[in-house]
Amino acid sequence: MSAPADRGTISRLLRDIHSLDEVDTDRRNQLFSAVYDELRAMARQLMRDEKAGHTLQPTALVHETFIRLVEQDGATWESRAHFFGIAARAMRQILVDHAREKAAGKRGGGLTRVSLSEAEGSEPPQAWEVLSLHGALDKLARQDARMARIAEMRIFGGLTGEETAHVLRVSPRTVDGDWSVARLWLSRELGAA
Amino acid sequence: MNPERFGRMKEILLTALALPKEERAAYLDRACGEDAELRREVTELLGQKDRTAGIVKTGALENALGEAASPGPRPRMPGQVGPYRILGILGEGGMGIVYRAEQQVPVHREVALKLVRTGIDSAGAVARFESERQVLAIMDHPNIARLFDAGSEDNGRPYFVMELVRGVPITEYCRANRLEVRERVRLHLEVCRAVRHAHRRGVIHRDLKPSNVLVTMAGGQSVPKVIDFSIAKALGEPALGTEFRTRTGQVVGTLEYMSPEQAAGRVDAVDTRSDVYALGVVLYEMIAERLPYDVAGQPLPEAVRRIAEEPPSPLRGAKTTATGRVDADLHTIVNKCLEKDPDRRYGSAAELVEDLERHLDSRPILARPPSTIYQLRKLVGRHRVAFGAAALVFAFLAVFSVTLAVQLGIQRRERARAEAQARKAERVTEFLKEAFKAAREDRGYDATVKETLDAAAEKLAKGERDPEADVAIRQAIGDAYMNFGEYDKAEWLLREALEMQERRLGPAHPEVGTAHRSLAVNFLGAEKTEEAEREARRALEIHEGQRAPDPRLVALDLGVLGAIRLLKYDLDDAEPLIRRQIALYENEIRRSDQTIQELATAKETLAEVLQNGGRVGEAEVIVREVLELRRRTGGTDRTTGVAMSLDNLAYILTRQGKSVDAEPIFREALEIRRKIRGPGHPETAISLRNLGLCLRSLRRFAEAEGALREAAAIQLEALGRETPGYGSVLVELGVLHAAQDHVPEAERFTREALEIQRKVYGEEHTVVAGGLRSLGRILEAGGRYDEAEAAFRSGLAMLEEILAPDDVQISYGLASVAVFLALRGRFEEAAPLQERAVAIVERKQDKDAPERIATLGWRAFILDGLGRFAEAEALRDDCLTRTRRIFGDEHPWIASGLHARAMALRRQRRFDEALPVAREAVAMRRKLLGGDHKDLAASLLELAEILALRGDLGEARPAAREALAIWKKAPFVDPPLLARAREIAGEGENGER
Repeated sequence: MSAPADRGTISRLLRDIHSLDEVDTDRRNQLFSAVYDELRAMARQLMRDEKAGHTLQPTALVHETFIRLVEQDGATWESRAHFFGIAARAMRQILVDHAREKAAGKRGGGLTRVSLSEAEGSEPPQAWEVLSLHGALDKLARQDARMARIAEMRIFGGLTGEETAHVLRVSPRTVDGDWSVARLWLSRELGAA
Repeated sequence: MNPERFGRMKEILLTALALPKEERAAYLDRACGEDAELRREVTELLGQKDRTAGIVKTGALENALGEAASPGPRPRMPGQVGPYRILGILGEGGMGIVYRAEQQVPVHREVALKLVRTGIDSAGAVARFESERQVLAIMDHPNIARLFDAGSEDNGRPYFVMELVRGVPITEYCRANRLEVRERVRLHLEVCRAVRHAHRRGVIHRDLKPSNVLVTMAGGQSVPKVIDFSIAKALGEPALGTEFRTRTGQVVGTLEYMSPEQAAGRVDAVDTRSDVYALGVVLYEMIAERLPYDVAGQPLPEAVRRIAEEPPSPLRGAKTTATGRVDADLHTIVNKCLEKDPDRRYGSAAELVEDLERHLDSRPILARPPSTIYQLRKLVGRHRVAFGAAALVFAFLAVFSVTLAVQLGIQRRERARAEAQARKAERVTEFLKEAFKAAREDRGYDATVKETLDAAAEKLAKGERDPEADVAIRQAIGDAYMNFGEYDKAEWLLREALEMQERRLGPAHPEVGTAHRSLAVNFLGAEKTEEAEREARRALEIHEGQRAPDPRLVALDLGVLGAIRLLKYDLDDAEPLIRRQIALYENEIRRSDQTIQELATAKETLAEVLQNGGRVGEAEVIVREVLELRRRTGGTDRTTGVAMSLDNLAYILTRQGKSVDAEPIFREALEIRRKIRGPGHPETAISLRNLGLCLRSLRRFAEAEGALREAAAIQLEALGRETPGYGSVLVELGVLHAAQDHVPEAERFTREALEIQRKVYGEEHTVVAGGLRSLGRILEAGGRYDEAEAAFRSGLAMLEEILAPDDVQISYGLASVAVFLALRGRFEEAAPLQERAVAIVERKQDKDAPERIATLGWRAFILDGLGRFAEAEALRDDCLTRTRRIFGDEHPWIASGLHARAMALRRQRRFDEALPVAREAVAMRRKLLGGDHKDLAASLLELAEILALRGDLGEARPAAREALAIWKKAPFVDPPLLARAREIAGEGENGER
């Protein structure tokens, strides 16, 4: 897990970021790795717990990571937004990895409670839904990269419209518009009932 | 599609979305032209609008991490569940799907069957249901859907069979039938009665929402029915937790009706009041046709935050099909249901029913004062920090902490580190909450909170949020500082807020006026009356200058102006201001919880004004009025406002010297506080302290000590040692012992109090200076004159260091040194100091201010010492007259004045005139102070001297002997006095005659 020294580093990194799509890929990668590692470690921890009642939401995990990794004192609203922008991507990656493993049958035990052969319509998203979403986002990204990014941040990172706007350096109105369209488009892609 | 086309498609789509449905087709014709593919794409997407997939709806993924294994097929309808044949689907609930089913035995009818989803503790649920079947089945109420049966399938999944209610959600019903507001309220009232029925049987619904309240027709009447009641209880808490975490669409739907405590996952905090909250949201939605909080499309943490922190959107002015007015009372009722803090809501559905009935009946609703109003004892301008503003600060500072607390409420499995974080987060949040609530000077000075405030203030400097948030945050932190007595810091912040408001809204906007008022209150607290007055006048000017002045804002301004006048002892000006304020409340301002409190406060202020002007009788009448008001509107069982009024009444009685009458009232207040706040609560400590002071004035020292010690213990336990409250109780204990001449104990308490005051307020502070004065008096009583003088002089020096030269408190310091010197006969040294003191009070205080009278009285004493008897007598005469007017004809001060007069007359050798005065002094002191008080001894000696000088030794001797007898028991007596008394008594040093 992260030692205090790491938190300092990460805080500093965050502080210097002005735009996520900065040229300095080194810094971005550093951040991403740190966040990814942390998120994955936490997620693993939860899944290992047999009695886990699926209590964790990804966005919760992201928040928790933020608190662990970033010095609270130096954190501004802006750096938080940047962090979440990165974390959203990391989270997505983790979920996808996890979903793939599940779908491939490698996971199991401790997670399944009751057989869901008579799954009802109000079931939580299955592994296949995550993968479908992932695929859909990729597809969307090919047509409108920014829209896909916005969708990713909102869905996986739990960012608000304002925060997303800040991270991507566009106006909140633009974000709202993109998000509206993204929702419709993704719904159709995922074949909503 | 390539990116360019996609981009184009996006624009067209967005434009189309913004248009009303009817116009879309035409627009699409224009925009797409011949491009059929483009048009098809847009049309398809438009069609998705009503069918957004759950995973995407709020943008939050629930349970994506851990959910169960195999991707399964889409849901299918079972043919049979238990003995019931499934006919169709009625709908989906968070807990499962509700089917329409057919019952064969014992009765053939259609029923609703809810098949509970997996993941819920099925065995437990059924078991629980079995054990409660009787209760649940008996819940026989026309507005509650009956529960017929429950069972479980072979695989263990439970199902519940209920009365089939064919109807529409209550919100739909209202809208479709365009009911007017009154009818909607009446409909809602029926629902509340049903919930009340359940609450009385100990059943909480936990999941009230429009889809659970259906309106059906029966016999031509519309009948609302609450469904799903029993199931919530039977399934117990884990179920609710699961439900909260299920599919996003579902969660948000339920989330919107969830009380803040439920949303935060604190399932242990769920009780009848959570149902009240939900009822409030439903009522709101029925009237406004929208929800009080905009959470749709928000990510989960944000949604939860909004529910927990944002104030609801205003009910009035909503665009709705409801006709008719939403009057203020209805508004109040809804808001009370929606209070974030459960303590401030209706306690149960029964109370809500009562107020709704009253409202429909056009009777005044029961106003229950919010339990967290603390009123500054000194200040009269009530100042309550708006919860909304406070909430914004939460958002700013504690968003991480709050979010974490929320998350941790949900993911209860994290240990160690998470627990520590949660504790820290909760503490910060809690501290912040306390910062905004605590307003009493006795509350306790929590350094951690102060540090938090300082940190908050610092962070403020680091960046701008949006303008409104910036202002609100500054105001909130400024108010908090003010409540802690940090007037300088508060001033800085409040000024900033004011300037920002001015820039944003212009100098004549009512909100700017209110900001001026906030500043005024702050100055008032710091006793900077000039500045306070300036700000308050400006506020009043602005508020009165509006085209349609809001009487409440004007009233509040008047209240502050009145308070300023009161502080300056400008009673003649204060009274008309307060009376005008009261008139506004009684005639023009709408009655509500809050305004009734403000009216009560204004009346209390008037009472204080009258009291200080000596019109104690009138003041008592008003205080009793306020007490009645509080009793009637508050009810003694849930409020300490009554306790406070009782305190005030008792205090007035005390001031009239009716301590005997005051005692039972203090006790009553104490009982109330004990009952409501608990025996360990700081407010109880305050009541104990008051009772202690009362008993002390009745000279029942042992009982007084008991009460004061208990108060000290509570203060210590609840708030800590280094707090103003604890310090001040120690001071009183010191005074208690000083009054009994227990000098060592008195000194001990006073020194400890002083130490605490130094820690709490800093090395140099007016309170510490006051402590030094107390210490000086005790040392003086113990005969340690040099130490006493040092203490007095230290205190004075401190005040001169920190205060402006004409500050009233400096006059206290000056007087303390001067009086000490005068009593030692060092009149020449005393005189210039006392003159300075007099100069200050003459300028700053009204002629009838007790402090001023006292200061002048001592001046007279010093003048006597300098031989300027005529001046002295004239002055003393004036003082006595005023004192009589305020305190009545018998009072220790009067006795002191008479004593001094007798002495002065004696020294002028006017023995015949002196004699009756001395006798009167003795008589009064004997009566008021008891037979063994040292002041009585002093007067006896004076009497003896006069008699002796007249040659009347026969009477003189007994008087002197009595004085000696008293002094025998005293720890210390001035040697010259003793010697003189012995001389007259004819006794030697060892008492021999």
